[in-house]
Amino acid sequence: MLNVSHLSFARGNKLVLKDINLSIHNSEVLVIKGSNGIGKSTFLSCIAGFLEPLEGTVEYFSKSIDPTISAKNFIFVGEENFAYEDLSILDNIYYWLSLNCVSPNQKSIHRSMEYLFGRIDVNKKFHQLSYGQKRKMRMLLLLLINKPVWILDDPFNGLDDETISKLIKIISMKRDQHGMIIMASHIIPHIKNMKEFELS
Amino acid sequence: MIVLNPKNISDFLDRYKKILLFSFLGLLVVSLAMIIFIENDYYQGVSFKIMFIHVPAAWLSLMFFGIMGTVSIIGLVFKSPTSFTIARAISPIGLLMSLTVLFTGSIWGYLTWGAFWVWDARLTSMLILTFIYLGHFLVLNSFEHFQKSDFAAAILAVIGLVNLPVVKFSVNWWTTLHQGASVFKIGGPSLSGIYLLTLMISFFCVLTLCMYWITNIFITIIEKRRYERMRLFDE
Amino acid sequence: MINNFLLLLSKEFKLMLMKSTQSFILFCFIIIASSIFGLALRYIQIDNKISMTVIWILLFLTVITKVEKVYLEDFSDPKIQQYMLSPFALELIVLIKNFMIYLNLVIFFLITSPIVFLTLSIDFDIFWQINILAALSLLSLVFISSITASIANSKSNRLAITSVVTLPLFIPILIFSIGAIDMDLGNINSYLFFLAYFLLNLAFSPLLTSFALKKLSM
Repeated sequence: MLNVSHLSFARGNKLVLKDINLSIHNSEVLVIKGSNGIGKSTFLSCIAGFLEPLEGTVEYFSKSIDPTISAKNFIFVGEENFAYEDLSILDNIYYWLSLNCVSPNQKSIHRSMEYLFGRIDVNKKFHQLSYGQKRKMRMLLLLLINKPVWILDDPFNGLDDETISKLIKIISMKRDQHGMIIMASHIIPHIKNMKEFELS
Repeated sequence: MIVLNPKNISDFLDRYKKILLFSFLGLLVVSLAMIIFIENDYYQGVSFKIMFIHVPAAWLSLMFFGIMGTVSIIGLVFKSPTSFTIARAISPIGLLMSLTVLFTGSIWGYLTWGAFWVWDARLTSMLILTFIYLGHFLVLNSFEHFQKSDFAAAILAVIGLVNLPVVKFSVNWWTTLHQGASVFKIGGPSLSGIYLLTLMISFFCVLTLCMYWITNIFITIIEKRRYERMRLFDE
Repeated sequence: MINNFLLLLSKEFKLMLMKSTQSFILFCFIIIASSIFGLALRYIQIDNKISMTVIWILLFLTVITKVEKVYLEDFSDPKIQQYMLSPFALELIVLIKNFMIYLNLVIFFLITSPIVFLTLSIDFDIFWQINILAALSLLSLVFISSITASIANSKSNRLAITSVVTLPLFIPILIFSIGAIDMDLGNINSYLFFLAYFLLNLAFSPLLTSFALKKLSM
């Protein structure tokens, strides 16, 4: 269970988040809504432990979030691209998998690639992919690394309808496996056991 | 029970900074009187009296950097914003002191050695210290958000601490044109009686002036931050 | 875990090789700059020490530029977020990247040093000694520059302050390198300072760099 209590965050002299309380349990999907610039990405960064809040705590199973807990339990997929443009797709996959101490399994990599992309040359350089394909690559991380909490920042942006439905299926599967999914999105998907939270 | 938070510290300093100001004025009168009436040096004549501003400024610039470095380490380890504010208050005064050392030293050097600047160990390491002070001061004012400047400047202060023993012991480690240590050395000071007393009084005079300045800057920063934080939650 | 670490190292090595174009251009700058210097002073007898100073200053500028460029790409915000969620500490990643930058620079220096020595008329009988001195200096330089690059690359930084801040820490390297020519270059004691300075930087630099990256970039 992830518990956020009285969370406030200020950037310099501007208060971005004020007194936020919520809790998410296993097998739940939380969608954070709000207008542009309200602080959804900042809120997700605070939950993941990247930013230190001004006040309040974030607790995961009653333990305050520190780098060990977040490294063990969270996957964060942000809005911007983190892959290395100069490396090939396969090299990027190996890099980010080995960084997370997941031994690359050829079969599971090819199965996930087939599911998300269909036929694609894995030796293509990353910068040769289209914008939508680059965004799809991040979903691979979710499929191949097994951590209980997913924090997704605007995951549906830039994806075609087929991929959106595939992503909804992946999220539902994770929810069935007792995972916890927190996402900030403008598109509200139809998923069972879904909670909504509006940032104002 | 006394709680050490920024408000209590700045209230305390507000009340006692008048004491600092008056003690500075008193010491200024005494030290000026002693400097004017003290006997001239046999070899150097009147010019040796620059020592009474040059040496205290040198001691203070080293001392302030040591304090700045220590306080930065405390701030980084214990995440204490007050420590960073102390470093921020000390930075410009330390820079001023090290520039004073270089300036008065150049003049004294010209009068004694005939050269405004030589590249010997003591002067070079003092110049490096001035550059580090300058870099620290620039970084403090280069970020949009003051918390980030504080972190970056604290990191620089920690690295600069390495230079401190180099400056102090440079006259021992290398053969230099600059005079060796006369006061803080093994075997005690080699300055006699009245000169040592004048030096100490002028040191405390400059020290109280610097402490007064630092106190003022510290209180200003604390008050400004408190006002901004109160505005933060009112909006 | 060891296998994953070795795989990570191999991909970092591959990344480093791909960035060789940057280093090649920077070393072309060194060759051109040293040629201009040699050409301007062609009728004057220049000492080995003057030539070495020129090389060291050019190396200093090259290292700052290279490290800042690499850190701008490799430690962008989304990448730091992923590194923070990895079991490997950010300090380890910084260490690996710094060593890869060092390897890149040192190999290019060894390739271009004969040309540079020729243009600056340095005696070739101290060729290997100067190369070893440069290799040792580059070690400390890369680690110092990584601290200042991580401070300067922050998005909310308004000034381009890297060189001002790195310069004071570079000065001891310059002093001891030039001093080493006065002392016997065959004596091991001339090189010990660089080892000591590097070990000091090795102790502090990854910690301070990763600290700066985490706190200043977000």
